[in-house]
Amino acid sequence: MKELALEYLHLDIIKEDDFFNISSHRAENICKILDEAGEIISPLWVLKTSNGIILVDGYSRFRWAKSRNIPNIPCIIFPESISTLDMLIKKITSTSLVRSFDIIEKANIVSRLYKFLTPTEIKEKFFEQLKIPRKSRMLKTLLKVADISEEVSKYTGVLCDKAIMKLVWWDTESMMAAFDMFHALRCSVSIQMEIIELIEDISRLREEPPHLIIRNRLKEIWTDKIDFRLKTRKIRDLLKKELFPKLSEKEKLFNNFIKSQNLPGNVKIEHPPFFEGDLWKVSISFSETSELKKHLEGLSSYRFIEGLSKIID
Amino acid sequence: MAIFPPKRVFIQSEVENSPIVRNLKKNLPDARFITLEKETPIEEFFPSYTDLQVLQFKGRFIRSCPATKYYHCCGYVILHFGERCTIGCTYCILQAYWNQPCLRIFGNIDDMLSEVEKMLDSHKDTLFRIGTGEFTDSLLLDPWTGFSEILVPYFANKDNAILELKTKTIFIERLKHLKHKGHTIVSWSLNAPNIVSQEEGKAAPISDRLFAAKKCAEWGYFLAFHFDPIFYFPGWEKAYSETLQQLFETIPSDRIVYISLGSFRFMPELKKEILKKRPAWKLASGEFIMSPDGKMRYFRDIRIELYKFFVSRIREFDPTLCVYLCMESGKVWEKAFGFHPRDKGGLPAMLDSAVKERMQVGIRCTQSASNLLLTKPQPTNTANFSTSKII
Repeated sequence: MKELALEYLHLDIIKEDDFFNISSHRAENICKILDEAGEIISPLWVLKTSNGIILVDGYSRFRWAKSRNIPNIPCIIFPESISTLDMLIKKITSTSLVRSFDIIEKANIVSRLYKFLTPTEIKEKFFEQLKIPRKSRMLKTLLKVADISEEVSKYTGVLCDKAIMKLVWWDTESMMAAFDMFHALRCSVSIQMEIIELIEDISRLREEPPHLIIRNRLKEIWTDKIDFRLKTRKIRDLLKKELFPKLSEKEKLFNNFIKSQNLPGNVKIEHPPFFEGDLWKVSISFSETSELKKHLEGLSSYRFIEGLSKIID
Repeated sequence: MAIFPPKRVFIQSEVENSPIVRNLKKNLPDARFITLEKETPIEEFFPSYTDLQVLQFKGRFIRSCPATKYYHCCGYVILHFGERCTIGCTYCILQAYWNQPCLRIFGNIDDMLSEVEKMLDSHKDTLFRIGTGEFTDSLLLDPWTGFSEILVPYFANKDNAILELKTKTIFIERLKHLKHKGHTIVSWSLNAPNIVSQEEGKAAPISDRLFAAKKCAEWGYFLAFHFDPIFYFPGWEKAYSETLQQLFETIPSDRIVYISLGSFRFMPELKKEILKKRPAWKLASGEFIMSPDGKMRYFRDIRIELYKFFVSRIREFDPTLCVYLCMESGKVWEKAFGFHPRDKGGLPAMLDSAVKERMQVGIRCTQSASNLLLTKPQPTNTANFSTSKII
């Protein structure tokens, strides 16, 4: 490392290289921060090569400087003796000391490492450092994410990592349709996963690609100008009804029965989850024993028991 | 059917002199036999599904069925003689259970039989229904191991036990001349014709399985059939009717000790595993709900619909046949059969009775092996469990 140098370099002599540009989707945010700071304090990393000086780390800073017509920027210059792979590893290590990588960066890193290393080497040496779970197909999934990182980057913040990693296995049209839908729904991680799984199951059963479900049957809901939560609920209800017709029917029957009984608000009856098992629940809240007596009498009436037994039995 | 003999046999040095190894050497002249010393891991040889490993098993050979407290278990006793299966059914739960690549059988047969002997001798008043088909197919390797030639005659002389060999193969030849004294049930797993052809890999076609069953019946063996897993798909009634029709046209029902029914259920991980290999696989998509035992099951009303159909069809052929549900709730039993297992003394007792009546074995036994081995409490008809913690 004795050849390492810190110098102000003119922007024109620094070449960009896609290989090292793994975080382009973060540029906008970093530029805002630099706008507030007004200057580049942290030096960029560049590598001397036979083809000139290559930018390794600091792509957002570089673009900001260019857009502000700043001619010279501080750079740490790494010598030609360092290989491209080693340089990438240094960049990964240095960044991971400061912050975690997001899914697009992880995917980009894995795709770059894949040019030099075997899948096993990548898993063994880098998955832990990059905080990537060692699940089967993970490497392939990340390579798929890297392939479409530009599209995915438009939806980060809207789509959870889990959803992205599922959707990249869909056909392109379906994946893009799902991206649009989730952008319109803005729902939580668990609900995103639930909706994806429901669509996958329906798609398998109907032997039609997911985009037909999203664009034909769901679009009217997710493009509606109603509240996000309401849209999400309507979509979940519709999908559940389609995949679980018999369960939905049973639930409807139960709900209609409960509604027809005009139970007071402090008496609640719950069926076991999915009507599986024997754990039916009644909860009564009361302030006086006479109130409790009244509720218990109501619940043990012939009409109520008879009606409920039709659902239970 | 194309089940090929193992190409390589890895033998743990401790079981080199096992009768199973002797048989394998005799019956597999083209296979390569490799003896592994303790410190040599099999992984060094990159084992595949065409290989077989013969090991010394140090655990308990006798186990109870992995029952749960939420569903009624039949009280089947497992004789753990091997693991994994190469038939390759798409829906097979063993895919999620095991991660080692090749078939494994246990060579220390003496230890196995002495454990069985001890168990049977010390509980003379208990009837044991013992089977080998829980973690592998009972007859898949029989042409080469000759294991049935050890087990069947052994159980022939046991007054308080019967042996069940459960298979999807037609490897019955070795059973032909064995002295079984009516103590062995040979059983087949059956399914709808489309399920067999599309999902059951190298398993024998239904007609072949039934032909093999008929042969076994002619040789004096008792039979059982397992419709498990039953799938709910468009046209299921017609498809399963065909199999049932074929079954009762081929097999004299008085040789059938029982028929079990079990709808498709799976651990959620199994679905993920299958879909990785077959993304368009439909059979795990549908009205599956999370059950209190952590498995995905068809919604209750669908299971009831399936079972009711089977029960009524089977009753048309033979109203006296013992039909039971594998891992089902009392409510579903009541709906499908019109009675709760409790009304017959519990499911294990029901099956014990079928064995006593049809096979005339264990008639003096007053206890069921499930009382001895089932460690998990069985469900009652009262609300005794909480599902909310699991779901």
